[in-house]
Amino acid sequence: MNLFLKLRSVTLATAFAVAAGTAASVPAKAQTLGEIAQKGTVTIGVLTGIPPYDTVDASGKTAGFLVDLANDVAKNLGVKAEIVPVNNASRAAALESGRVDMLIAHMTATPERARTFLMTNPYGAYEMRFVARKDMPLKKLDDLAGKRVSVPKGSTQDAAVSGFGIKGLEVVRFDDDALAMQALISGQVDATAAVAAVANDVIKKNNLTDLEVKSDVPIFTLYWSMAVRKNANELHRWLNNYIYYSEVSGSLGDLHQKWVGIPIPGGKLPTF
Amino acid sequence: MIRSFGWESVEFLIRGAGWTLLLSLMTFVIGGFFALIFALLRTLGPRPVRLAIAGFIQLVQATPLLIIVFLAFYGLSFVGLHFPPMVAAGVSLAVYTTAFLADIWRGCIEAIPKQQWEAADALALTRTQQLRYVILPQAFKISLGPTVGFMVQIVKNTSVVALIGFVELTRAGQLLNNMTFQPFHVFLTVAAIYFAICYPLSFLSERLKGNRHARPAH
Amino acid sequence: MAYQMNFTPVMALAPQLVEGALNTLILSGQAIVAGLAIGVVGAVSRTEGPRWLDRAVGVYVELFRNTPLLVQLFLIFFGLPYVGVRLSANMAAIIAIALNLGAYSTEILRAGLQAIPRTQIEAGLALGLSRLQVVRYVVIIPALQIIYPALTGQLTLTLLGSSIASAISATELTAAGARIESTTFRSLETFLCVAVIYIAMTFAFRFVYWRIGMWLFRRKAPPKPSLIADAIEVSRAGA
Repeated sequence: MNLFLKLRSVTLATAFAVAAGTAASVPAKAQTLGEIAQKGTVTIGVLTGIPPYDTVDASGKTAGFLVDLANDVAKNLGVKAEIVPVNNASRAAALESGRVDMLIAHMTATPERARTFLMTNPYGAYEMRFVARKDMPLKKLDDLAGKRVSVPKGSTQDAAVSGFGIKGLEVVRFDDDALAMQALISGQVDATAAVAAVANDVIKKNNLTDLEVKSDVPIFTLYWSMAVRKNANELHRWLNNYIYYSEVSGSLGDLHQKWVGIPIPGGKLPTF
Repeated sequence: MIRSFGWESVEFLIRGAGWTLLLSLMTFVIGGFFALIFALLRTLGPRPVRLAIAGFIQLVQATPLLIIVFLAFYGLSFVGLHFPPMVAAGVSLAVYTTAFLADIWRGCIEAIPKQQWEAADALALTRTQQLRYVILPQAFKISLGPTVGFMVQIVKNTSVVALIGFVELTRAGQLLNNMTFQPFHVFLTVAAIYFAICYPLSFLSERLKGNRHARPAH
Repeated sequence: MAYQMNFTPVMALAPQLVEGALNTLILSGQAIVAGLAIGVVGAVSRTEGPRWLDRAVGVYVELFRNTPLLVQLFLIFFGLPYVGVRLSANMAAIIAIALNLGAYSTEILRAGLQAIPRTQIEAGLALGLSRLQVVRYVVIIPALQIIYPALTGQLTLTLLGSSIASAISATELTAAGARIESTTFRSLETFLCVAVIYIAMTFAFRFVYWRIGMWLFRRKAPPKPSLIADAIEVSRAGA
């Protein structure tokens, strides 16, 4: 029946269109320095939506610490940067699927995650603190008994606070740091486990005079690593080299100072 | 940089709404193209094809959109298809659009009484001509209302691509809230913009359906 | 391009998925009961109530059908505290989803009620049926039969739509998946598992609706609550 022939040819045409579209689209994922050079661009997944580490202007353009860092990585590779915004839920898939060549996305190198990706030496660090109302006493961890504490879902804060084993403490999980903070501001939780620099920034900019970063109970200082796919050894080594060099040359610290307003916490960055 | 909710914020949201519209349009075009093929094959194709399409539709309709978009978006990359993000987002949403639109349109084709086919057959039209001149024009008229209605769903559902990092209206609202911490202002404005886009479509959809009902029932 | 699927790390955390699935069932179950109640009240108000009530319900329906559920969730959870109403995440999710379903089911149920001609009711009374019998056998059951596929389709979408509630920290299946993904970074495997669980739940629900339909309509099996009808109604359905 010629109708079905027609349908079949339409289907075929579609298949060809898809194939052609593929050929013309972004080159496939790059694993080595050579492949990146050949491609002329490096695709970098960058976590967005967490001021002051990044910010968006009215035209929708993202700028910030991680974006500047990503651009600097590309510059040092001698190629153009293609920045892909990612979030907590999508970053792993973005790297694993080949949508991006590397991630600079505030990831802590846990041994469990390192089974899936290669994590670089840390490029930055953050101090985790509890933020709560000024009138809520928080001198020791046990003061959190029976309280509700918000954290970003699946983050290291999540793992840490869930692991304290404090009686009656309820961990409330949100999609990102800002929503966890929002929950505290709207009064849905008693405290949030947040990056101290972020919390201070939010409290200052939004004039939240009834909140404070609790200084008596430090949670920990954690370090952020970049990530590449498992078999990208060469790229991994190059990034470690890059991070080492930008730290000793001071450019990394300057960048952090510029956006976050403080030096990278925790002193000299560790290597592993 | 935006600190608190003001005119600049509204501008930012409207820009996001622009992306929402563009993405919706692209999703509708891609999804509609495949849906038409699927709807025809589902009603008239050979049995294995009909079953395969029915299976596809069943599975997609039983999975949350969030998960479909996630699997489709990164699935494309996993199998080595690298589209620009905008196209990839459009294709991921089109997976779901195809499943629903194909089903709606199939219903419309099947709503045409059998006698219409028989009459067309009696006029010695070929199967293609029957479809082209008798069945599809009538099915098209029936489908207008539900199709425009479904566009409302497309516009609203583009909000899930916020998950894959695409900055459309909802994600723009989230980013804005992360900067201003004024959720009431931000999301009320976001809701108002969605309403301004969707309500005219809903209204048109009801009108189109209403006209159909207004005609004699048989 | 040989991606090695590895489900082991995800399977190790499978109990979290089971708990998430149970929470999804509880959450959407409560939302469905509340949403249908709203729908019944809404539909009766629109067909039988005074004009102003019809208008007011109409405004509610349009507001909720023309804005995304996610935005409604954000407004209810993060916005309402600014006017002094503070809800837990699961409560906010149930309320948002129920209000959403309420808007859609109001319209579906209204369509059912309006499909029963007045003359039929009069005929029922003329046959000597009591008012209650008329309402039951002439209005409710036939009306329900007409809209049954649309209604059950909407309930399925409600179940699936509850996945959005994870955005405001509700503890359901998608949230459980996101946590596992974050710990293991096995994204594809995790979301495939989550998808399979949703598909299984949806099919189980469809089967239950189908059985209820058989019983309600005295074994005159309604069209299987599946695609055609779901889809015609999708135009008004929300997710």
